[in-house]
Amino acid sequence: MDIERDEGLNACLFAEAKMLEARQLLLDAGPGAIEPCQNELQQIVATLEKLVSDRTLEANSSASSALLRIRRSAQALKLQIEYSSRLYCGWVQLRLGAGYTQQGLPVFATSEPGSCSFEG
Amino acid sequence: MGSLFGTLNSSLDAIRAFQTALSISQNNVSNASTPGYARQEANLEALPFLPSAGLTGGVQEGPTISTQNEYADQAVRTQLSQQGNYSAQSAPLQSIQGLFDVSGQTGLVGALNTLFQSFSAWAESPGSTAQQQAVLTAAQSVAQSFQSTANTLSQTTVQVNQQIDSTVQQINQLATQIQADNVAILKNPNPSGGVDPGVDANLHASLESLSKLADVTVTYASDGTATVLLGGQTPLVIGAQQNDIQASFSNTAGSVNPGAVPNAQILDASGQDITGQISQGALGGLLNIRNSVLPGLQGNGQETGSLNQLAQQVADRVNQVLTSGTTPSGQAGSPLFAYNNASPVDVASTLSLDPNITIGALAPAAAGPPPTANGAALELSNLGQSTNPADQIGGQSILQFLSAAATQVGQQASNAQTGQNAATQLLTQAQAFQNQISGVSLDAEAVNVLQLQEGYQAAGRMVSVIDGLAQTLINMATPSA
Repeated sequence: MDIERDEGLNACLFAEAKMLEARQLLLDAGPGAIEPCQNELQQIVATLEKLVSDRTLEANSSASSALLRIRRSAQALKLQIEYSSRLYCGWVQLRLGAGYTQQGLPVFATSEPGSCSFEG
Repeated sequence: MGSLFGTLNSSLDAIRAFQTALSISQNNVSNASTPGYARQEANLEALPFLPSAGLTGGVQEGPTISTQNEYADQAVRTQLSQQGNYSAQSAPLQSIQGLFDVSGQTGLVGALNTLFQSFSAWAESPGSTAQQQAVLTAAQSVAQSFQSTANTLSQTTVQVNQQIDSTVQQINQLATQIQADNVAILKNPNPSGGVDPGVDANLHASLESLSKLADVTVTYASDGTATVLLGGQTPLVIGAQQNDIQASFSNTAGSVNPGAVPNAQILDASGQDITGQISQGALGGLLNIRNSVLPGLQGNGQETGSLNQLAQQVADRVNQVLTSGTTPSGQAGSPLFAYNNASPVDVASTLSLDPNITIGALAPAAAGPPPTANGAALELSNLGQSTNPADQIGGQSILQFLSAAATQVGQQASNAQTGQNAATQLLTQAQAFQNQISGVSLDAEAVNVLQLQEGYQAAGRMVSVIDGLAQTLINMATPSA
């Protein structure tokens, strides 16, 4: 039982460390950063999904603290992704845009009217 | 011969072009760490190749193009402005937060808790000299805590005033530098087009420094000079003209509290109040502390401030209960607290023990009905949490009111810290983006950038999944679950 608890805590700490790596990668959120970041996130998803299915974390306050930190990191990471998305989207609109529709949607000169959006 | 001269001329153009490119390249390297410097690109233009018409092809230098991208620059300035805003608020908020120890061990919260505990102990032994003395000691401590808190808020106000003055001076100095850069641009137009890289670097460095201090909007005239608007409306610099701003601290008409601390105002060159236009940068943050957070606690010309409300309610209610009671010797009780009631904003800073109060003048007995030997003391022991409307402030008990004020300050301090961290991250991202724009041509990568958006969206969805999984696991891992 204790071994299972330790494994669960270690998995949480691993996911937390991966989360920090993903945030670090996205500080320079250019084209080269997004794929490594996605790899980190996939590992975190896989780790947490396994913890959910194994149900090894019951009544584990240390893991709970790590998970709270992961949630806080997730909020910060979401902000980073959203900001990067808007930054590049705005830049593309400036470079390729042909103005805006009456509804405020950007119009691209080389394609159908469309818009960039962020979906969290 | 014509052909020979044509070829020689073509070669000469090419050499000049490559020399310029080399010079620009060297300039880029030597200015790599210059704040505000944007990489310059030599634009090599292909010449038409049509021998029959004497056009021998080759390359010549075109106009030098600055890759300074205003969009990326604006993104950096926006984040600098937000970071400056939160940073400026963080220190004074931390200082104010320290006055309200929510653990209840020290400061005002601790002193009030001790006072109510002393009333409770006194109610159990109304004739005990030791308990009576404990009440006086605790009341003295409460008065000192209110005074100390009010004094610290006053000192914080003075410090923030100085910071506002200093920030306004820095803004004016930077505006002077930008104006000087504009003059340099007007006097020495770059013959190859655009703005001289050295002046451009100075200009952008000044604009970034200015953004930390206030929210500024920058536009460029066709002659290359920068127009800087404060808060999007007030012109700081237009071409060769600069307009200073100034800070002012004076009560406006309609002030209802005599002697209240005046709000801070920012005035434009013509003396118009432009305070409302400034919300970002260090100046916006300082104005928020000075005109919103501090008055909410210590009051100003228009409001009493929660600290004074609290001090007055505690003093008035304690005095009312004691003066309606009787002493063990059958005399009417005396008030415990005194304060200067000339202005509602002076209550906390002047709260003290009533000069006539003595142990014997404390009245524990209530007249009733029914009369009780410790009725007044019992009522006082419950005063902090009383639901009697006469004991409450705005529908909250005294301790709830204090807790709400402390929580609000704590939340503001926490928000400032969180905002500062987030702004620092986003600034790093914006600067990385700025470097990419200035460092490589992303025009060619525009399609890839569109694909990048899909990557962001996928990452965003994964983060949402992680957030949901973490919440599920927290529910599983919480011991009480």
